Order: sequence, then C-alpha cells, then structure tokens
Amino acid sequence: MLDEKKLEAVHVDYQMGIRRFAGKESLYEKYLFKFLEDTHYAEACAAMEKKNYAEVLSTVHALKGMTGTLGMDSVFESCAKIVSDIREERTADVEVHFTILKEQYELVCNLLAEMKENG
Amino acid sequence: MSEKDQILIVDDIEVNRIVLSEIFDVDSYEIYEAANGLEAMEIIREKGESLDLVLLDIMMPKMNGYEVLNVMRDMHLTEVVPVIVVTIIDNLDNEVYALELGAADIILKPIEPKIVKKRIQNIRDSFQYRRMMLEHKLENQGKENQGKKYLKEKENSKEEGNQTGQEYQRILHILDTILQHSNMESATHMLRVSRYTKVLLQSYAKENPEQKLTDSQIEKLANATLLHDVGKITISENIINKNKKLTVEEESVLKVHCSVGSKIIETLNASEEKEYLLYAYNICKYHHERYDGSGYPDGLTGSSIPYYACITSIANEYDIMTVNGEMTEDDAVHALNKYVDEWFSKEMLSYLNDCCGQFKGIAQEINGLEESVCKQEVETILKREILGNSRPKVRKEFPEFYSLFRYLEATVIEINPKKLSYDMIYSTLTDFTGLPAQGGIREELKDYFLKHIKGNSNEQILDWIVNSLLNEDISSIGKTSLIYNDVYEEYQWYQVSMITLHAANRIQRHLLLLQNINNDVSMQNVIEKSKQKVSHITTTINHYKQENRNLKALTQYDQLTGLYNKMYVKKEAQKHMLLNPQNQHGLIILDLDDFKTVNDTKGHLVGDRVLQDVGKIIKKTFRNNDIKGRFGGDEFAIFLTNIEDQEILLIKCEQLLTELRNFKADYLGEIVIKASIGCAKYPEDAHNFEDLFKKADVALYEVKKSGKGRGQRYHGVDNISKDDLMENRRDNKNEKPEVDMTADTNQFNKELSNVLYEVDDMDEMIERVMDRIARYYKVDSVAAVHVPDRYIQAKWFLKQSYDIKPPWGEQEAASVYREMQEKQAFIYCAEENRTDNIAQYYKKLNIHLQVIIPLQTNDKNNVVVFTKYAEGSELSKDEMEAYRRGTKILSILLRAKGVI
Repeated sequence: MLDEKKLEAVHVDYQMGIRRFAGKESLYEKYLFKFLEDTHYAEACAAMEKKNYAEVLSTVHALKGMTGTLGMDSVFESCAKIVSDIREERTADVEVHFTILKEQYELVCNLLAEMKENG
Repeated sequence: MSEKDQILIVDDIEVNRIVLSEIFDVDSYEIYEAANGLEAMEIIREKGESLDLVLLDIMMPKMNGYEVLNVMRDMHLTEVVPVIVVTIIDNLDNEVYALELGAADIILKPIEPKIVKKRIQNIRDSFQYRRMMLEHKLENQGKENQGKKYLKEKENSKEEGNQTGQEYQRILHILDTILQHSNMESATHMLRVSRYTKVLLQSYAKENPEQKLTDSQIEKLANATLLHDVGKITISENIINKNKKLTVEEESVLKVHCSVGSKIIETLNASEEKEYLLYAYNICKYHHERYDGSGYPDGLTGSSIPYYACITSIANEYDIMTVNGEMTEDDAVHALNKYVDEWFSKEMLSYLNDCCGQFKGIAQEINGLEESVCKQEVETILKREILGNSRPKVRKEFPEFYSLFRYLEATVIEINPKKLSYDMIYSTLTDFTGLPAQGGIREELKDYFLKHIKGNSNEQILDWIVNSLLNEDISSIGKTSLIYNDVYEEYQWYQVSMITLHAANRIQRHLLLLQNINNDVSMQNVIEKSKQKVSHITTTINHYKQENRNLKALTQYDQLTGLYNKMYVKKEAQKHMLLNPQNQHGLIILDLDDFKTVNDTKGHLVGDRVLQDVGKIIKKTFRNNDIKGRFGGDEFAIFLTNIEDQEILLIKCEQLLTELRNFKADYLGEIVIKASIGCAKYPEDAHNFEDLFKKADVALYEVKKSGKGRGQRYHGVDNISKDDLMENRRDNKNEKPEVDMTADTNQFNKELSNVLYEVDDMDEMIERVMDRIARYYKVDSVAAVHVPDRYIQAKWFLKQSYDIKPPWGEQEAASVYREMQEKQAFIYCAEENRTDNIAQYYKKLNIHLQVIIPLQTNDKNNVVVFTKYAEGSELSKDEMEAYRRGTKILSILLRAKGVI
C-alpha cells in the first residue's frame, strides 16, 4: 500500500491506476517500480541533444503510452504536448515542453525510487 | 466455442500488454502476446481464423500495426477475426485509416477497463454471426418441396420462444450490418425488383384464382424479395465488382451466394412470424433456378421451383437489363421472351408480357428517390417484417451518419416539435445512461436535466430547444454545459446543439446533438474523411470550428487588421531561419507617416479603417509564404521567406509604397497614405530576428529623419544610439499609449452596456464581453478559468479551445496562490525583472504580462486570467484597475449563468 497522498502530489492517479490493473494493487505497484528501469526517457534525452526529432517523437510517444497506462498524468501530458509539437513542427515549443517533461519525470521517479527503497 | 477463446495482444510496451490482458478472465481465455508486428504475424499465420480477437497497437518497431492490418486484410482474416486497434489519439486521420484497412473498432489509450470490455463484447457479437454463416457448408438438398420441410424444422427447433431484448438487438445488428455492407446491392434496385414482383404477382393471382392469393400475402412476398441477394455480402468484392467475364472458379464462388444467403435468412428468426422468413428463404435460394433445370444451386425444374421465386427471377433479370439504360424496356422484355422454356415457362412470361407496361412508371418513380431514402424504406420494411411491431429501447437511425455520430461521441435525440416529445436515436455507451429512450420534453427530459445539469442553465436549455424549433432552419451550436455523467460519476462538459436535417422528400427532422467534449475531441478530420454525405451536419459543425478558430485567433492575430501579431511573426520568422538557414530571407518594417494627423483630423474610426486598408494592401502585395504582421500602432512588418536576391527587398518596398500612395477611398478624401520603410536581410545583416529587427529599425530611423516617404535598407552603419531609436519609436506611436484607460473607459462602458442590453443569450453575452475586454485592454487573451487544486486540469467555463495551463510549476503554485490571497491578484510583468522560477516559465512562453484575479473574494480556484504576449510597458495602476473591473463584470455574468 503506497502513500497515495505523496503520489497525488506528483500527479500520479493511484486509484485510476489500480482500476486499470483490474484492481490488482500489487501488480500495479510492481509495474510502477518497473518503470524506473525503463530506458525510453534516457533515449529521448539523448535524441534531444542530437536534435533528432524523429527519434524524440518515437521515444516520447512510447513514454506517453506507458505513463498514461500507469496514471502518471503530468508526465503523460507533457509527452502529449511534445508529440503534437513535433507533429505540427513547432520546434521551439518542443524545447520548452521537454524541459517541463524533465522536471515532471524526475519528480515522479525520485519519489518512486524513495518508496522502493523504503520498502 | 467450448474451448478457451484465443486472444492475441500486440504492443511493444510490456505494461500496456499487461493491462489489456487483465481484462480477460484467465479461465475462459487463452492469451498470446506479441511485442511487434513481426511476432504478431507469426502467431497470426499459425492460428489464422481460430483467433477470436486481436488487440493491436499501431506504433511498434520492426512492423507496425498498419502493416499487420494490411496483411490480415489480404489474407481475408479481417472479415472473420475482429481486430481492435488500441492506440493513443494523436491524429484522427490515422484512426480512419485503420478502419479502412479493416479494423473492427478503435479503443483509445489509456484504457478504461469497463468500457473496453463492453466494446469487445459488442464487436465479438457481430463477428459471431459472420462466422456462423461462413461456416455453413452446402448441404445436398432433396427435391422435395423445401418450403414444407423448412417450416417443420422451424417448428421443432428450440429457437422458438419469447423474443428477448437481446435477441432483438442481435437481429437488429445483423440487419444493420447487412444493409451497410458495401457488397449489398443498391436499395433502389431492391425496391424496383420488389415492386415489379408485386405487379407480376397480381397478374399471377388473377390467372390462378384457386391459389387464393391474398393482397397481404402479395405484399409480404414482394417484401420478401428484398433479401434475395443478401448472400452476396459473403462474396469477395473482386468478384462482385468485376466487369469482365468471370472465370469458372469465380462463377462457382458466386453461385454460392444463393444457399449462403438463405442460411443467413434462417438466422433472422426473431418473432413468431415465420411466413415472411419462409418466403425470403425460398426466394433467396431459388431465384437463379431455371425452368429447364440449368439453374443453381439445385438444378430444380419446372413446377418444383416455387412460383414466386420464378417471378422474382424474372423481375431481377429485367432490372439488371434495364438499369442504367443498358437496354430499353421493350428490348428487355423481348430478350427475356426468347428464353421461353429455357429460363422461364410460357406461363411466367405471359405475366411479364401483361404487366411490363407498368414497369416503366415504377422505375421512373423509384429512380426519382435518393438512395438514402430508399435505404431507409428498405430498412423499415425489413424491420417491420422480421421484428414485428415491438419498439426497442434505442433505435439506430440515419445509418449514413452512424459512423459520424460515433466519432463525435454524440448522443443524438430526435425532437418532435409538434408533440414536444423526444426519441433517443443514438447513444454512446457512457453518456446519458439515465435518460429514458423516449418521452416528453417537458416531462422526462426536463426531469433529467434538472437533476443533471449544473447551475440554472437547465431551464434555459429547455427553452432554447423549444425556441430553436420554432425557427425553421435554425441550427444553433455551442451551448456548453456541465452535465453530470453517471458512469464517470462527475460533471463533464457537453456541447448541446440543435440540427435540422432535410430529407429529399422535404421532411424535416430535428436533432439534438449532445457531445461530450470533456476531452476536447477534434472533429475536423472526421468530417473530411467520412465518406458519407453529411450536408447539414457539416455546415453546422463547421460553424463550431469557426468559433473555435476565432478564439484561437486572439492569440495569433491582430484583431483590427487580421494580420499576425508581433509575437507570432517573430516566432514564425525564427522558425524559418532555423529550418532554412541556407536560404535568404528579409524583414521589412513599415511605419505610416503622420498617422496621428489622420486620427486627429478625421477621427479614430477613419484611422482604424486606414489601418485595415493598409493591412489589405500588404496582403495583396506580398506572397502567401511571407509572414505579414502588424506590430501595433501604425507599424507593420513583413518577413519575406526564401527570397532570390537582395534586390527583391527594395523592389518590394517600392511596390508597397506605390500601392499605398495610389490607394484612394471616399472616406480618405484628399489624404494620401505615405509610409517610411526600413529593411534588413538575412544572412548578411543579421542571423536572428532580434538583430534583424534592430537593423531594419535603424534603417527606418534614417528614413524618418531624412524626410520620410521612402524605403531603405540597412547599410551597415550603426552609429545611432539605442535611446534615439526608442525615442523615434515613441514619437511615431500615433495610437494612444499602450493602455489609456481614461479615454477608453467611457467608450468601453458604453459598448458594454449595449452588449448587456441587447443580447439575450447568456453565452453569447459572456463571449462578447470577453471580446470587448480583450480589445479595450489590448490583451491577447482573456479567460475565465477554474483551476482545481490539481493544477493539471484547468477547465474552462466557456470554450475549450485554449491550450493554456497556469505556466508555473506545482511548487510555484503555492506562492502564486498566496499572493492572490494577500493582494487579491497575482501579477507577472516582464518589466519588473523578476528572477525567480515563475519568471522563467513566463519567459519561455513569451508572455509579457499576466494578471490573475479571483472571480470572488478569496476564491483561488475560479479566476480570470489576462495575458499579453506583445512587448509592452509596465503595468500601470489604471490598467490594473481596468482588469479588476473586467473581472467584476465577468463574475456577475458567470454567477448569473450559474457556474460559480
């Protein structure tokens, strides 16, 4: 049973997540922690450095799907923005939204890492 | 299926696969997973038709969802195996494409398990029947009179019994599928054949009085012909549509449609009514039999062929010959007569010869009707004959708009203005679940609204519905309301619209469209891609899109001239320079000469018109690719993209000056428009917009100082101080300073009271007031926002067209709220040079000024947000006062509407 309030503070919709996993809380938690090992974010950052927007698009798109399923609303939204920015060729906005994504992502991951450690 | 159902889940992200598989009970389902298209194909090739369902993601490495669909379609699997595409809604184009490729449905991520379950169930039901009829093998029929045997079988069959709601729905669904199928013949053909048959039967009845054929029987028989080619929906399109002669193989496939069709008809057993189905069964099966035994499927001869099947056969052949004027009526009759004793008996042909005179009239009449009307007719007849008179809870009408309604996620209610009653025609799974399918407007509907609509808009909406009906041809759009959704157990945003549909026979139907816009569905692509004719709905929906665009325009355009505003020009220019660094671009800044004089002598109205006309001239003089804008006051700027050489710049300047000089208009009188122009070029003069602008400005300054009225390019001499430039700018600002509240306030108040007085409609009033506020305070956007404590979802009271959230992060929110509480306003102004995190956010989004004022004292959740993107000055006390005033006005209006 994870601290729901803390998760809410970083905009993770815990209740919805559990619902999506057919009410199986432990399964949901398992995948929340598993998310920490996912590499798409790192790949997206690398792609941003190289300004390889095609790569950014596919990695962020994948990230979007995952975070949507896991109920990580704020990360999901920033991913959504980036995807539509790239699709509509608003490269200036991509930078801005990627910065926001970074922050949101780190907030969530830090909390999850902390929770994982404390058992 | 007694064994476990087989499901294939395809998605490259593991967690997504997990979530989908959780929907299925592990005892009844066997689940296979694939992480990309290639893996999926392996499983598909192995399992083929034994798969009961495929859940398919689109974006995957190695082989994506579309490619998988393509292959499955070529393998004809999409006809028997339901494929549901599970994807993120990025682009509706993609969705329609998936459907065209053969997907059965689309589910959006992130998934809502309850909904997904229901959808899957529905899809599988409809595929069930498809498989059933395809699995039927041809039986060897005896030469007995098939009719009697059939009737007997049915009597013994267990399918007898009470008609349940589910059974009803199933049949309805099957009929829908049949009628919608692309292989199904045209409804006009079906109706013609039916009418010809009727006439022939009347002749038959006269010649054979001992048969005691009644009128109602004739009617039933004629209606039974409608299904004669239903079997064709199982035949591949290639064969049906082939223009050339079919191969022997193809022919044998085609012949199958008679038996298969009759099997399908068997499954339509829903009511006690068996006679109709019996007729339909026989007609379908035997309408290709021939007198001499050369027909199919059974090679029956002479009188063992049911007489009405023969008659249908004649009618059918006649229609095939005469459709599209291939043959004249007389030639067709003549040709058919040649087949005496081969295809048809002498007797049958005699009926033809008696009646053919009437056929021409019938054809003309039916050909005058539209296909959709005929389809409706056919559908009505079939439903009546097969399902009897019981009324289901929810009807599905307007089949041609069906897919459109589905994508709009709209609930469609038909209103009868005379009886003031309503009838739910189409409903989504999750909206208005508590509303009875039929009822009175002032009774059930009012009741429902009272309980579900927030605020006191429920009364207004009912009145509005009734009023709209009294105005013929009025289609009103855009009453947004918060309505409680019982499935999601929260208030959600709906757009309520009235639409009038005109059918070909001048019947008007009034539809109430309730669209769930909680998630900002984009409709544009749907309309364009939908292959159905949408006439009225399209025009009314375009109106909505237009309104949406109008609001978006506030942030991009200069309202007076319709050109872009400074921020947008800057953004676009920078983008161009970034994307095409190797090309040449240019910036032209134009300043009208002595514009202040015009305003002073002729008044502001004339001044405004001059600006508008200048805007038009600029649009005319430059290309579409050039980015044309008004930077405020009497200053305009044009960024020219991808120019060939530098001469172009000066040539364009000259051209523009000439056009302006030559412009004449009555209101101008003897005034001639003169301007000063400065220009600069990329890459020689500068590499970014800021510098480009500065250099062009320097050039402009020189022109102004040396007599005005001409254009000049920056020539590299930069000894003009910044102060001089600034002063020059201010001098030439002929319009009132950025915000002159005193002069404007009276005018504003006057206009405001006009709006409040003249406009009855609350929504419109609020909109107009916001528009006025925006113009007078020269802000780029005014918005009334509800910001719940979770700052992610800012919901808008009026329109969901903005993509703006409070730009600060969650940690900053606390300090913002605190400030709002203390000072009853939060202010951000670039001029103040804040350096905290909040300022960072604003800088990134190019916001110069943002003022947030609570709508009610100490209410931090309901606020008005004023935003300026254009560069400007500090926030003066007067301006702040003005914002507060605007907020007060809005608060009154919104309270009146009942939303706060």
